This record gives sequence, C-alpha cells and structure tokens, in this order.
Amino acid sequence: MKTILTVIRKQENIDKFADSCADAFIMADRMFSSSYDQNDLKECIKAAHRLNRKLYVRCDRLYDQNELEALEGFLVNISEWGADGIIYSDIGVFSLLEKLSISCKGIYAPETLLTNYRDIADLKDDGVEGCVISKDIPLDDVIEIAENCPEYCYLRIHGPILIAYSHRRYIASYLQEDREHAEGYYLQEETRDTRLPLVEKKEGSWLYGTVLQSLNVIKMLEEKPFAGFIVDNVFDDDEETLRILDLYEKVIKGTLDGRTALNQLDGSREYTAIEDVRKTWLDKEQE
Amino acid sequence: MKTELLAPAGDMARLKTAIIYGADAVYFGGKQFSLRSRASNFTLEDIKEAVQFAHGYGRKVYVTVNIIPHNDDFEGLREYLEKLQEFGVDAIICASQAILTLCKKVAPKLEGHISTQQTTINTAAIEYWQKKKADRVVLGREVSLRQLREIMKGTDMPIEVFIHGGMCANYSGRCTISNMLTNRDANRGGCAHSCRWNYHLWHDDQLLDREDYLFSMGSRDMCAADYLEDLLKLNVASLKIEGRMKTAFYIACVVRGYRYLIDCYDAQGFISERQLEKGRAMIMLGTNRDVFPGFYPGFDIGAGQLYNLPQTASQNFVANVKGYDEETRTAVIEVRNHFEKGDRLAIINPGEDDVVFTVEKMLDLQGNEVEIANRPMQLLKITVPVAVSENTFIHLIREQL
Repeated sequence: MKTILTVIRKQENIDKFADSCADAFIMADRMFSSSYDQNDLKECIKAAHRLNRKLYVRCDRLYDQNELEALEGFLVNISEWGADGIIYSDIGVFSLLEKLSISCKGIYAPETLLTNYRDIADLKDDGVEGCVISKDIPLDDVIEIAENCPEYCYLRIHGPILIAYSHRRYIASYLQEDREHAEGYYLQEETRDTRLPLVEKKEGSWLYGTVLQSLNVIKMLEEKPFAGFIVDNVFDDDEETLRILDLYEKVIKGTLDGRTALNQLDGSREYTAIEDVRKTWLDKEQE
Repeated sequence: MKTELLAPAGDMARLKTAIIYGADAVYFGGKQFSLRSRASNFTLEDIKEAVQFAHGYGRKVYVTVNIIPHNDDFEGLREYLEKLQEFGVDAIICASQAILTLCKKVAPKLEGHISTQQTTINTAAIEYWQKKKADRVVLGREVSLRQLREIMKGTDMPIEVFIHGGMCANYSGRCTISNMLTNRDANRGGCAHSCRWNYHLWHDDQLLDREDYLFSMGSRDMCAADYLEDLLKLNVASLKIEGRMKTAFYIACVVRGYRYLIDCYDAQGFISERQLEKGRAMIMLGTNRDVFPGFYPGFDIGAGQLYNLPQTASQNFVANVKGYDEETRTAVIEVRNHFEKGDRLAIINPGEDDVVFTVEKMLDLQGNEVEIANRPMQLLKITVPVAVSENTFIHLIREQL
C-alpha cells in the first residue's frame, strides 16, 4: 500500500490509530494552524514515534509579516522535537525551512495553486520536497501530474473540500459579535439546498464545500506514481477517521468493493467523488 | 526610484485614456493566459499597438499572464512570450512558477512580476520569488500599512500594492467558490463572483439571517487615497488600480485623481488636507460602489463587508466628446446618460481642473433644438467654455439637496 497520511484531531486519540493503515499522522498547532498547543504537539510527536508512525505538522495558513519571528521559533522547536514533516500552504515557510536548515520534510499544499505538472516540477527544482495536488482539477489531470512528477506528489483522497480562505471574519462581521472561534456554522446560497460549513478563527475564515471521496477509484490510484495519499478531517471525530481509513484499507486490499464501501459513508454528508471533479469553464459562454 | 501609478486597460481606448490621464504604466491581458476573461482582452496586434502608443508617451506596458494554469494551458505560451518580448512589452504579471521560469528562459528582456494571485504577504514568501529571479512582487491586499512597513524594511524586492478598485473577499487565488457553484474557474479567468451572492447563515439547525439583509462575503471596493502619502513615503515601486472591466470614465477619474495626489507629493513632499480632499473627489467621481481603505488601517471586523445594500449607480458621466470646432467653441458630444438643458455639467480634461458650465442650448445634428438628452449614443452639439477633445469626459454636477 502507498503511504497514507491522516489527520488526527485530538491528542488523546493517537493510540487509537495504532492499528490503522495510516503511516503518518498530521497534526496542527493552535497558533500556526488549528488544534494544538506547542507542548501538546511535542507529546504528539513522541506518541506517534512510539507507534512507529511519522508525525507531520500542518501549517496551513498564510502568515502575516509580524508572525514570521514566532513562526521561525516554532519551526525550530518542532524540528528539535523530531517532527518528520511540515505541510504548509505559504511558500514563505519553504524559505524559512531553507534559511533555518531544518531537515524535516516540507510538503507544499496551497490547496488551489498546484494544478499542473510544470509548476510542480519547477517547485521540485527549487528544492521543495513534496507537493499536494489541488483538489480542483479532474482526475485525468491529477494522474498526468503524478506521472510527470513520479513519487513526488501527494493526493488528498478523502476529506472536506476547502473552497475559500479569507483573512476576513465573516461570521463576526455579519452577526456583529466578536468571537475567537466559531464552528458549527453553515452558508446556504439563497437559491440552493447545499449547506457549506464555515469555520472562523481570529486569523480568518475557512469555507468548505462537499466531502471529497475516492473509494471507487482508490485501487486504480494505488497503481499510479503518487508519493502518498492524505485523509483529511476537519469536522468529524477521530473515530470517524478510523472508520474511513478502514474502508480505504479494505478496498485497496480487495476485501471490500468500492461501491459497498461507498454505502458505508456517513449519510448525513454530501460527497463528491474524485472522479467526478469536472474540468472547469473559463467563461459563462461555455456553460 | 519614483513610485509608479499603474492603471488597468480593458481595451485600446481605455489604455489610451489611462495614459493620457497620467498613468506611468498600464496592464492588460491578451486573449490567452489571462484572468478577467470577460474584459475585452488584447490581440497580439493590439498589444503591439499598445506598446507603441505607451512607449511614445514614455510609459510602460505590462501584460497579465496570470492564470493558475492546468496541464493543457501551456500550449503556445513560449511563442506568446517571445512575441511579447519582440513587441517591447516591459513585463508580464504571472502567478505560476513554470510561466516565470519559461519567461526568464525564452524572453529574458521581459520582467516577471508575481501576481497577487499568489497572495504574497510576508518577506519569507518574497524571498522565494526573489530566488526565482522575479523582478517585482504584487502583494496580497491583506497587508496592513504596519505590516507593509516591516516588509519594506526586510526586502529590496520592488513591491507593488493595490490602492484602488475591487477586492476579492477571500485571499486571491485561494478561492474556488465560483468553481464549485458555477463550474466557472476563478483562477483561470472565469470567476462568477459567487462571494457577492446572498447566503443564509445557519448555526447547526438555527437560521441566523438578519431581518434587514442576508449574509454575503461581498467586499466594498478599495480607495486608499487617505493612505497614499504613507505608501509614497515607503517608496513602493508601484501603486496599482484594479479594474480591467471598468469604463473609460472610471479610468479617467481614478487615474487623474491619484496622479494629482502623487504629483502634489512629488512637488512638496506631502499631501495637504485640501489636496487630499480634491484628489479624493476626483477619484470618487468615477466610483459607484461603496469604498473603504482596504486593510491598510488593519483588520477591523466588518470594515470591508458589503451586504445587500442598494448600490448607487453612478450616472455622473453623461457624454463623450466626438468633435470640436475651435472657432465656434462647439462640441459634438455622444450622450451616455440623462441630462437636460439648464443642467450644470463639468468638463474633465487630462491634467486640468474641471470646468463647470450650464447647458444653455443643445442641437441635434439636423439643427433641431433638444431639451432633454436621454437617448444613449445620440450625437448633439453644445457650446463649451474651453477646448475639448476626444479625451474629454463630461459629467453632471448633482445639486446637493
């Protein structure tokens, strides 16, 4: 099986992933991404290593100039604590990793920007150690990227699709209430039914679409030259992630077919199959 | 280094307006590889002509090659870049590593400016682009003045910042709402501005809609005139006006206003309150959306948000000039918005103060007297108090109630 990286949301659940198919855990620090305090993160790294798993720290924000000094300190700390990798969406993090001679693996994951193999090959030439392909392009394009940059690209196979990231605090602005953290909110475009999860923190807002899933094609993707797969989780508890990992493992190993696995997904969520991501149009005339 | 005023150009007419009204440089897209696919983008022949025109005035031309490309979007790019270089284009504005690298290889005389689509907001990210031999970085609009001061201290990379125009609600380049809701690609020129639509806001199963308006992510436009002096003191390389889709009247008003303020600063080292007021009025004449100063003052919650408020459609611009007889001081004008005999109009000429006059008499081309000008594109003759040209715009002075 290919390397699988999975998000774990709560520190106390790490041991529950001991028997999962995940090779690496992705966790985040509160200041620099979302969930953990730095001291907790140190313990998470130890816990992952005890389970012979790698620990990747997610730094998936864009950083204001006044955060750089603290960010440098953070990168040094997690490197010293033995983190195996950093997943970042601000290309400035790459410059800092180089400047600080930090050896843990840096994976660039800017969500929307990595939509072709030429840019990714360029990033590889620059010294970036891995890239997460954008979720906004059709599967044929994704595979073409992997084939042109073999064993270098990571593919998000499951998880909520981030469709907008803003420095603005939308909920606080609309409700005129200042709050540090807002979850459980949804936007529903006035003529449609779909509800889009909206998360707000003091650093900004994140709007999500449907949940991406790859169960029908994961066996085929397993044969392609990806460096690894990512199972993301933003809203569910870790038990659900374990269940999702189990489904993918069974489908990859052939003990469960994709269609049956699909029926076992959480029925309350709206899913987009990775093979159904369409080529986008450039203008209204093409609609 | 003198700070440049950079203006958008949706077509050749608007390019000429921008230059005649005082832009130091203009930017526009070609038929391929550019965002704003609905702007009247330039053909290769247009680009050649644009360069000749701009260079004739000693101004620069930047071509946007700023899509976030897909695998099959590179076809013809090499030849396109070679052509841009051959025509004497000064720079491309791009958002792709591979496009920048190819440009440096096949068209090394072209500067490579990194688009705001990359949302570069700190010196560490600037350093990355510097190592890739970029010649300029356009910062994300999310940078406050305080952050900008620190950025300018920490880099010698030429920096371009936005001063006016539409704002993406989300980090530019990091938004695909349009892709999801309309399948139109926000990062390849098809953005449907779905952020400006109305949405219901739920918390779990509780509907939180306000009584007066629905939720929207829509943003007020930026007008950073109040921060212009600070930006000029920081010696940024370029001050950018957004709006490749906007009208020639908008371009004329906004460019003229900022040109006036920059010239005041260049002449005396500061902008007085009175000058600021005058410049701001010139700028706002062409602006019909609510404005705020962007995030230069910092991030006040709600400061830039625009909900379902009625927009005042500007009908200030009432006529173009199509001809002028110096002997009789008669102008042939093309009607664009409603005005009447007896209204007070103002003549906008490049680099000059407005000249206000009252419409005493209007004639159609057959010599019939006209009381009300309300047929768009109708040609009328009026007597004007100063010389006018095809670069003149005429606007209505609205009486304050």
